[in-house]
Amino acid sequence: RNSQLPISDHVMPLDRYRNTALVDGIDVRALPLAGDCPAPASEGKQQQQQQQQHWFQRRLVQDTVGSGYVEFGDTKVLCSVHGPMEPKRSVLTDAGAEQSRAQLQVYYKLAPFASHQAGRVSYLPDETERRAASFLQDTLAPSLRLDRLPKSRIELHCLVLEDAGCCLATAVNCACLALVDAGLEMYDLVTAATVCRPVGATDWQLEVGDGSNSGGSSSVTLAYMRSLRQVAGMLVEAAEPLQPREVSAACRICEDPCKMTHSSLRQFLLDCLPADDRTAKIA
Amino acid sequence: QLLSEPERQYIFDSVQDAVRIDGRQCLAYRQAALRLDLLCYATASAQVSLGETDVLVSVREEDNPGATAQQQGSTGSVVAAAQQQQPVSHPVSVWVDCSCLGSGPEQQQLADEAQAHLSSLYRCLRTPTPVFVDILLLGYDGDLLDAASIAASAALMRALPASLLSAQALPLFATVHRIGSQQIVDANQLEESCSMARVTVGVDSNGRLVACQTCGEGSLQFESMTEMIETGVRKAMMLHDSVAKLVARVL
Repeated sequence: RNSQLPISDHVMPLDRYRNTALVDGIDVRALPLAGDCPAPASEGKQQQQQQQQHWFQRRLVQDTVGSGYVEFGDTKVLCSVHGPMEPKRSVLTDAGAEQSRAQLQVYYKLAPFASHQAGRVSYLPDETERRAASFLQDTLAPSLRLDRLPKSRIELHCLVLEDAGCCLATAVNCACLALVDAGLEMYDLVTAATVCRPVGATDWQLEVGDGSNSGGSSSVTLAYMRSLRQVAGMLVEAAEPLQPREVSAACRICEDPCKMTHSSLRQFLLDCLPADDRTAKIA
Repeated sequence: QLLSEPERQYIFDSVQDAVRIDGRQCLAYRQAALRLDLLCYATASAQVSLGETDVLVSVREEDNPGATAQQQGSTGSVVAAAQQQQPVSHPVSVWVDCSCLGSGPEQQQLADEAQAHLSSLYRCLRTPTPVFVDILLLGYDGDLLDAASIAASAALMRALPASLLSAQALPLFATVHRIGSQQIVDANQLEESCSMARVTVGVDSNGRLVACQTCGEGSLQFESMTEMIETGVRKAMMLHDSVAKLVARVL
């Protein structure tokens, strides 16, 4: 590929009130086509270490109360939080006890272009996505102080832009970041990690976002709250029958990556504070 | 189910003292009934009633996928021959219907969750012909997953040939709830609304896990979660014994 990409000659005259991205932009025709994409990086220890680090970003979406964006290797997840808003009323809703806590509603969707293996994903949520949404809801609810917002509803929209493995755990991390960005009170940050094991192997390995995990392996996803030392959620997807002690061992292996993610997320959030506020927070 | 705060506290406190509101032990199941072969157009069917929870399952096997094609004319027979030459393995397709309970969003959510759980339970099962498992919920008083898995597995044991069954043992669910510091199994609807967290394990007849998930808006310690998984496996093995005896008696 040519390293010097052609820049379009027909550029609008510079106007400082307009978006000047066009001046620095590149001709879309010069972008490589889908078939020319380089293979996902899977060799090299340095690259592997890079793949195991998270990239956090907040305030990506403008019109929401809070939003977060996490990249873990090639997996990219974007979450946005809306609310508190009017609660959903149903016939069975009791005016008393049910309304004393906020309702948390999670929507989870893979973008149509997100999946490497499965091709184009339908725009309607399918069974895997509904299951992921209820898992996210059960995982984030223990940590949120929903009793501080009675008679209201919080909506969390989770969009997976690229799924290269470890998608659900990255979504949990991203949702937690978005909720903190929205300023909702939480007991603790919820972080998650996934370990997987191909059929017939004996060792559990941390799943990273490099697309190396194929469909035929068992995976255990653990969502953990480090300061409270409690498990917020656990999901096992077995490709073969597993012994109960293997599942417990896999959960224990997940604990360390969860703690590391908790530290890096916490450090990122502290770094986001203005410098004069930082010293006021308890470390 | 609507519960006032004092009623919730009453159930919570009595479970802490190992007394449940219907007088059962903490780890005891309700009186259950299993009936087989109720429907004439299904390959196999089963109905399980666990207290007030009533589940009817129909298993339908497309045992001759070429037959409908043959009726369509001469091109159909080519399709039938081609299908018979290639043995394809199909996953089991599960559908849960909660329309007897009403058409509100809560019922739909119950059905969706049950469908997701049961599909993951039979994920490892592959059949040579497409098999459709339709689960109809006729009554609900808690513990839907256990009852549905008993009915579905019993019906599948009747429907599938013995050669397939000996290689893959059919799994069952056991759901363990945690209320305070006590674990209970087979919670009814009132107890389910008081429990903060539950662990659902899908166990095959060799005691190995094929599915495991925590649900509910509460968090658990590692040790509690491991204990609940072990309790679930023990209870599921007990269920396996009972179901195997019942099905053998009918056969």
